[in-house]
Amino acid sequence: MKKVIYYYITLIFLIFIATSDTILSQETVKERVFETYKLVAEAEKEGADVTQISKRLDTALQLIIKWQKEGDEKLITQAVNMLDEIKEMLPSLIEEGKARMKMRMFTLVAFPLTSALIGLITYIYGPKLVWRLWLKYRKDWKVKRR
Amino acid sequence: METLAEVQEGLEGEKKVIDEEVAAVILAIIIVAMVFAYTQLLLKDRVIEPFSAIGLLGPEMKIGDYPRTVRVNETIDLYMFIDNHEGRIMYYVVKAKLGDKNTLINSSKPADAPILTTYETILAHGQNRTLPVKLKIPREMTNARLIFELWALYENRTLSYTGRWVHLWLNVTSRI
Repeated sequence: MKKVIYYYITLIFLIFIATSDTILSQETVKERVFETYKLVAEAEKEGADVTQISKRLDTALQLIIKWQKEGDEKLITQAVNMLDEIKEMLPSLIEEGKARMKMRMFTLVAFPLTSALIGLITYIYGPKLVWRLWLKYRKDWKVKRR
Repeated sequence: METLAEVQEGLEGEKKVIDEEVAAVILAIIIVAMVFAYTQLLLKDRVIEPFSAIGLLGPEMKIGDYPRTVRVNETIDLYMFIDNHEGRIMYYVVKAKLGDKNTLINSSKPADAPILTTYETILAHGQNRTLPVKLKIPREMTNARLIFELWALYENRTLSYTGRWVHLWLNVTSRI
């Protein structure tokens, strides 16, 4: 009788461990998606272009949702690999974003300054240059007296 | 024959090759074009009116052909369209709820009804996604209201109702 009781207790314990482990894994994996999403959102704030990476993140999320329904371990491995890849890609995307933002700032400042400078130069030297060129190309012309 | 200096002198007397008014108009056009180009440069990545959108599509992935009457536990095939124009990446959660004619829902208050299932998707700004929806209603109902609410999960773990929802009226029957 004792043996049977021990057997049932062990079985219940094993079932409990197996079940709790699965629940924990599902939560952990979902947490990893959310943490990656947070990192991507932060990277976007720093100027990174997250258009492509967000597609991968969504694919990873859909794989996890499918895994939760079907339990296929291949799906979760694929999803976790994708999440790791995304994390690896983030620093370079942030660098690219920062460079792009610097370039944009430079353009925003340089555009009006260059325009003003060109306008000033044209205003000062434009007429002289125009007439000089006009004369240069017509220096051989003969003008008929009226 | 005139010397070059004489020609130049004569020409300088008639410098107004382009009329002053014409020159002013050309200058104005150039200035306006430059200001326009600059504003375009300034507003390039700015989202003036951020919004999220949700839409319900029929079984053919088109607006229309929605089921009106379904049987108990019959699979309802629909598609859901989600669009992000928030100017940032978004983690969307769609809650499918089963309400009835008394269920209240508006842009500030989500429906107080049982959740049938949830859908999740992550979209960058300007991206959209069409999700397949397969639902079953477990009991007979008249004027059942299948509600899809769009929620957003933010970085601080807040799940907020975006105020966007769609619904479908259905009669759920045990007979064909």
